[in-house]
Amino acid sequence: MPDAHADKVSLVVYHTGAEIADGWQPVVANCLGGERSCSLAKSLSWQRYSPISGVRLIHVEGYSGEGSATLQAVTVDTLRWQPPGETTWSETVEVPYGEERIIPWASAGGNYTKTIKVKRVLNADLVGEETIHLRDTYNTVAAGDDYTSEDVGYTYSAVGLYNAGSAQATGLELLIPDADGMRDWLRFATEVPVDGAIQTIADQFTAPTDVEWNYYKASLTLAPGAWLGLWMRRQYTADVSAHKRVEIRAAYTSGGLDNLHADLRGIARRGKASHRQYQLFVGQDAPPDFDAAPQDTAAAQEDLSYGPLDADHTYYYEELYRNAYGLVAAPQETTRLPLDAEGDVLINPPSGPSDVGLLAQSDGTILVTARYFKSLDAAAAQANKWAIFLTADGTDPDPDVDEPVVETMSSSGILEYTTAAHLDETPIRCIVRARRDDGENPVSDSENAAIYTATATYWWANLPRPDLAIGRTYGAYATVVEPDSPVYIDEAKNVRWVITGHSVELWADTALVWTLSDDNWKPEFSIITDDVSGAGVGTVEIGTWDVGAKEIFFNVNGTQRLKVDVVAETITWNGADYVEAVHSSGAGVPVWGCYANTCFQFYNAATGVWSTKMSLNSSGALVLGVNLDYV
Amino acid sequence: MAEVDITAAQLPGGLSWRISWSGSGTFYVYLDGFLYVTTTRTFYDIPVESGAVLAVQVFDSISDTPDRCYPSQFVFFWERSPTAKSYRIDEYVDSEWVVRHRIRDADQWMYHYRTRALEDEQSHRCRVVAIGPDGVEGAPKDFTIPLVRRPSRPDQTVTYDAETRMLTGA
Repeated sequence: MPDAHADKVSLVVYHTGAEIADGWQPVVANCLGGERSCSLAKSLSWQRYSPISGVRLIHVEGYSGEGSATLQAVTVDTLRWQPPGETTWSETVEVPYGEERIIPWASAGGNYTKTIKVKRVLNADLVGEETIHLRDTYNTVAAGDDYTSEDVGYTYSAVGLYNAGSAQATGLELLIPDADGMRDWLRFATEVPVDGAIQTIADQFTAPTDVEWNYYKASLTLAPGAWLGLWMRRQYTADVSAHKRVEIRAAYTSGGLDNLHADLRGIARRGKASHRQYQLFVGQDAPPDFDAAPQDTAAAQEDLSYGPLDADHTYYYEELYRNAYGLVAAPQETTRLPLDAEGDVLINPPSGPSDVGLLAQSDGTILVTARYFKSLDAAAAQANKWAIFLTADGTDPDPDVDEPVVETMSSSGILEYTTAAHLDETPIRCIVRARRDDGENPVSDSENAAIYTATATYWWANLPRPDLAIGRTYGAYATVVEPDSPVYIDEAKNVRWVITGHSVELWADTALVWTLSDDNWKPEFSIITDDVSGAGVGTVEIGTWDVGAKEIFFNVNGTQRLKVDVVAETITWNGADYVEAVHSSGAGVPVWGCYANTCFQFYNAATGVWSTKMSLNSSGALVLGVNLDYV
Repeated sequence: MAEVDITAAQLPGGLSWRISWSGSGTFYVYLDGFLYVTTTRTFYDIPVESGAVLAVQVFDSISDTPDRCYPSQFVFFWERSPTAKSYRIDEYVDSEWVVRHRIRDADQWMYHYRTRALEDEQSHRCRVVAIGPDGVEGAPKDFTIPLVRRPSRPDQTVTYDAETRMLTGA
């Protein structure tokens, strides 16, 4: 069964240079005129990663352009396609087993402008759809071979435009688009074959004779079975390029359809050996600008030089290479060169550490880990210590100001450093740097600035009394060790907590200060609402202790916030607050300092659980989670 | 909608790189000008063969187009041979064929193979050989392809002389 579209989409571009007319000649370099071959002139290439089984692509017409196309099996015997950039489908074409078929895609006007040619080579159902990645092709017959001569000149090649249909191709228009500078260096000429052949040139540098070079020619006609020689001339001047686009459009009318295409396209390369060079990029106090001209170039690396460099500056440099086609290696990593006031090298700082981690332990300490790879640095630049910059107040560490903790680096380059214990919930921020301190040269730290964070944590085994069983048969009492009582704040002064199992009492010698129970707080002293301030140490501390005043301070993160005066029998803080939620802790002690709160704990002997009943915040407010029993 | 700034970090083991960026929405990751993946994540791990130079670009719109690239690897596609049990890919190196890969026939319609990162400004010769049931080799499909790619970064030779304060290559 003949292809219904072959008559209409009739112009086909073939290589020349065949031994006999219509003979096999697939070699681009041999397209030097003479007989027309039966080898198609390739324009677009394709990549098929998940192809429809049994479908072979024969040709994609160059006007279809680059991009992603879709080929779809509509039924088990039919296909349609969608060219790159289009949103509508071609008509559906039946493709019998063993047959080639053109699948034409029609533009809005109904003309076939983009075509694909396929062959069904397996006798199996057509199923599914695939994406076809269409790409321009290097070294097509239109583009020619790579040309690396120093000379200015031309190369030539020829193809045959053949009318394979039964209708006359009219209005044939040949055009080099006014794009990408193609008209500056690309021309074509036509030659009508005589006795079935056009002239033959000796090689690609030999010009055909008696032809007229154009970038536009119109109103040509090609009868069925006839062909027209199309010569291409590429001028190579002073430029170099790894990507010179070539396109010659061939639009025509056939069988009542306009704007049919048999375009030629490809990519050419133009190189020059003299263009190969090593390049040295240098930046002063900043990485080099790789988009600007290099600071020096040379044909050999040993001829690169730059300077003299200014003292008291830091330089950055990198060597790159440019090939004959003008492509330059990608910059990867500049070398840093700090110079002192004498122009001598300050040895580069060591590389920064990897795998930095902060792990909050159960006791308020932080485990700081990091790894340093000595192999990344030259021997003279290798680190031998760790500099650990830590803050515990919510601010970022500043290596220019802060004094670091310095640890000697082990031979493995692994850091495992445990900080001092911090208040519960203290925000820790940390920069870990590798340090070189050889005792002779200035101390040099790595320049990494990433800040790692963790929150100090205490984990309390605050379990309710467990339920026990003996096997599956009997229950059993859990014998639980009760908290010690009293818990002294100052044993010499007999200031203490008494834990009764149903309350926690604060005593100052013989005076009961308050009682905290499951549902109320009962102060025994007068309450004074006033600001309490002043630097404090720890969570609870003893102040003045004489006949005039005996003070107990409760602090929040280093500031005194609540004062008990045992002589005056007063409790002073800046006001109660029932609105906020109590800041809870599971701490198993009567009073517990967190970063921004001090928690007053109650132990319930019935359940065996500690819980927070009131908390003093960093504003000095006492947040009550129980009733105030105050008369 | 535009190209997204990316950072790259080599992953432990040195076989892959993690490409990271910020933002939200759908991102289009191109490798050597080829749309490699569409993702809503803000990172992607890419295997990179030693010596390969790979251009990576990330866009937040499908309408953006990547820069022109000059890949260092070829990909061969071939239709299956109905009688082949496997395929062997050879590369011609130093005047002899070196076996690069073997692919067992898995009843697919087409196969493809990506070469190693090849040297710049050279013609490379490879072939695909179909192997029959008894190890009989079919006629090889032979390719010779000139490659021009972005060259590799040269060895760094420049040193500083504190006496002359000059940078000089070697």
